[in-house]
Amino acid sequence: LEVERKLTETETTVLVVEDDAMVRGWLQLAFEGSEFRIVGEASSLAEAEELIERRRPAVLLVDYRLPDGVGTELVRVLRRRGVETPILLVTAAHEAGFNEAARAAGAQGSVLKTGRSEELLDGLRRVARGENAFDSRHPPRPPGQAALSPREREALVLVAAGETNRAIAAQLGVADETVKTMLARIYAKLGVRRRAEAVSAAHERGIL
Amino acid sequence: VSLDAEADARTRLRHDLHARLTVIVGYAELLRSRDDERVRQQAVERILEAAELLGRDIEALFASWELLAERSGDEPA
Repeated sequence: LEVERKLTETETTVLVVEDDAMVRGWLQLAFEGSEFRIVGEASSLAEAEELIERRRPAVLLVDYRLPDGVGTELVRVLRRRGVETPILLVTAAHEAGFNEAARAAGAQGSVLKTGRSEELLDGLRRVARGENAFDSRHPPRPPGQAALSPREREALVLVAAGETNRAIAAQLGVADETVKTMLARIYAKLGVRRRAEAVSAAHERGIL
Repeated sequence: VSLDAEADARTRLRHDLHARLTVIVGYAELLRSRDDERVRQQAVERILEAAELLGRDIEALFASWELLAERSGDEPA
C-alpha cells in the first residue's frame, strides 16, 4: 500500500517512467533524502499517459526504451496535448545525435543511465528549474546530417516495418523514384548506407 | 523477421544489459554512501539479483551470436 504523505514546500514531485522494477527500486532509494519525491511509477507509455493526468508531477523522468515504444514518442504525445511538464530522458548508452532528436521531440534534457544518482538528480534539478540539461556524453549529430523531415520519418517507419519501395510509394502517394530519392536523403542524413543501418540508427537516436 | 524486429531485439538486449549494470553500480554507490542497515540489506540483495540476470543476458547474447555465425557459415572465434 502506498502511504500518502503531505508534500513539503521544498519537495519537487517526479513521475518515473521505467520498465525495469529493479531500477525503479533503486531510484526510490537513491532519491531518499533529496528534494525529489516520486509520486508515481509507470512501466509503459500507456501507463505513463494515464498517470501523468492523475498525478500532475512537476517533472518527468522517462526511460528511453519502454515495452510499448520509446520515450521520445511519449514526449511528442504530451507536447501535442499541451502538457508542458519538464522531461528528462534517460538512455542506456550514448548515441550521436540523440540530444538533437530529444530536443526536437520537446524534451528538456537527457542523462545516461550509469547508476550514479547525483547525475540523475543534477539533471532533474536543472530541468525542474526550467533549464535545459542535455548530457554532453551524447556526441552531436555529425555535420551535414540534418534532421529528418516529417515525410522522411514517415517513409522510414514504413522501411522499418519491412515495406518495399513500391509499397512505400503507394502508401505515401508518390512515385517509386521519389521513394528512392527520399531514402538516399535519409541515408545521407543518418550517415548510413543500407536500410537496416538506417532503421537501427533511427532507433538508437530516438527518431523512430 | 522485419528490419524493425531485428533492430528492436538488439536495442532491447543493450537496454537490459545496461539496466543490470545500472542496478549494480547504483546500489553499490548507496552501500558506499549510506550508513543504514535497511539500505545495506536491500542493496546486497539487489546487486546479487542483478548479477544473476546479467549472467543470463550474457548467455542469451552468446547464443544469438552463435546462431548468427552458423547462419553466415562462420565459426565463432
